[in-house]
Amino acid sequence: MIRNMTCEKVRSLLSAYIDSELDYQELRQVELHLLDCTYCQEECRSLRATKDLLGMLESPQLPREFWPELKERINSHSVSEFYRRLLVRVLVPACALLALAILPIALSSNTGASKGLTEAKTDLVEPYIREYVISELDRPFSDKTSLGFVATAQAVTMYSSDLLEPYGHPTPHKGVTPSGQTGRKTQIDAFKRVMFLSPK
Amino acid sequence: MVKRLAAVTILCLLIASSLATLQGPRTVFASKLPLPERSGDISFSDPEVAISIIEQVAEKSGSVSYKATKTVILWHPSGTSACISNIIHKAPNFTKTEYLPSSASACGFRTVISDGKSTWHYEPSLQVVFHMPETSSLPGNDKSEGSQKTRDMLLIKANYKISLVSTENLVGRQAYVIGLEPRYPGNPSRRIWVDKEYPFILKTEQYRPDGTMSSVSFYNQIEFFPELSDDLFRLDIPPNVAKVELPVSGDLMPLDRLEREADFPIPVPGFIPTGYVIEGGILSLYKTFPAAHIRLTDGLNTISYFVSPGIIRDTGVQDNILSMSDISGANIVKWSGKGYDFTLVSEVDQLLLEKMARSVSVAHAPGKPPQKPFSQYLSRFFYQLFLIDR
Repeated sequence: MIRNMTCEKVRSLLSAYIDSELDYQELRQVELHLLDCTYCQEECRSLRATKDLLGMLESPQLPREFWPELKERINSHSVSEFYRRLLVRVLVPACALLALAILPIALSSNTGASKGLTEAKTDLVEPYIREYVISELDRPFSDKTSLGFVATAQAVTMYSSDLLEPYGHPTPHKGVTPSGQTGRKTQIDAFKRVMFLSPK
Repeated sequence: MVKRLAAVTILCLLIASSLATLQGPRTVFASKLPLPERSGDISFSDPEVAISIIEQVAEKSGSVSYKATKTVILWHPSGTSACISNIIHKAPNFTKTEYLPSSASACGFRTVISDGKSTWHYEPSLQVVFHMPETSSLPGNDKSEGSQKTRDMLLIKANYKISLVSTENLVGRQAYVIGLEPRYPGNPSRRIWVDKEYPFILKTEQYRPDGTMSSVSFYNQIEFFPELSDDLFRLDIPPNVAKVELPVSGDLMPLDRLEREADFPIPVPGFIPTGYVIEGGILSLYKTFPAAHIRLTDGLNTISYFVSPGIIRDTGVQDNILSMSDISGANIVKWSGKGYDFTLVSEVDQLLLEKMARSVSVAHAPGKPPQKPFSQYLSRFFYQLFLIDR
């Protein structure tokens, strides 16, 4: 899940950004957004200028009776007001949070589709990485030894994990090797083609 | 006496010239480099010097034969991978790499041999040989190789600040240290050590966009232009070894042709990181797992964008984006929506990939005819109304 760093979101964080109150991740996202958004850059400049201006103003002196009056007003709230606020501010959000927590659990246990979706998203990255690495080999200063190391490791992973079996590909026989090392049966005929992936 | 002296002189000259001919490739780099031999005279501030060095590396590094031992270390979120390999290369096409077993690489002994037409990867622990034809041997690829290198160099010059940082001694050799710093944020940077005598990279350090090192590879020992017989590049495979054919990527093609051949509409990201160009697309050859692979590059790095008709169709909404990373150091961003699965793989900053992901808008699901927008129906209605009235 990523945070959707829109202009609106960035602007809501600008004040904290200027005050250096953002965590590292948020700071990176805001800075990345500011790099190519002139609108937010302008907003940031404007906010910074306002803050600088405010910082230059002197703090006004409070009247002597301010604090006793404030204390008196806080204590004068009725009990019914207290319960109404408890309901609105505590119980309703608590119920909503509980419902939100239960809903995904209920959905994941009941629908196969959601389970399949999760699997579809987390599996099957090896062929993509392999194709990416092969593309990188074409670049002028790519380090072919390290790319070869990764590409061969991916080939081994793809072969070892029976990657494409759920998608109808024939896979080599499983079994016990003479050496007992790999758990995969050796082909009896030397160079017998094992087409677990379809070439062009 | 004079005749003898003249004969000896001519003989010496002949020997010297034949030696120079034999050692031709050795002197190519040094003689063509604009750098003077004395390091005191090197102009570190002139970017043209560094550019000239890397241009020659891009053009000629494959023409240097060598025998070496090399170390590769990769840092990734789940840990560190390292391997040591023995490499022999006979210019221009023969290369044999033996990855030695180590606890750090979690792999056994592995041999990879390439003859310019095919790559053979022998995995003794699995008793398997993987075979893959190389893309350069596919028809039509030879003519585009040179133009691709030229284009990549132009892109690198536009997108990276290239500088000669210093000169250093490395594995008993003098080397130029060249820095490639991205002009645009979110891209990895690189530092390469180029041998002073030959156009050859002795060491590479790669850094993530945040400045942390992601990989280093360097030669522990290297010998240039050794005697290498062709037999060294023959793979002696024991009997009872299975051969596995791996698919190979085809030619890059323009996106309109890719869409026609894929037989499904391919949504293209609305946002492409600054400095990157779409170099084309290829069709994945995993037949029951079809995917269009669009390649973007800034000359130095690649962004691979895969579009595949989804395993679960018509989910309707754009699902959450899943980001992860791989031992190669690549960032992977996966998401799905409206009957498609999408994947982005690259070493550029994850946030840039996520921004690309969010910019993909799917008009309609694969296999369905495109829906006409309401405005088209409306204009058609008024058009017909107009015709009838007239």
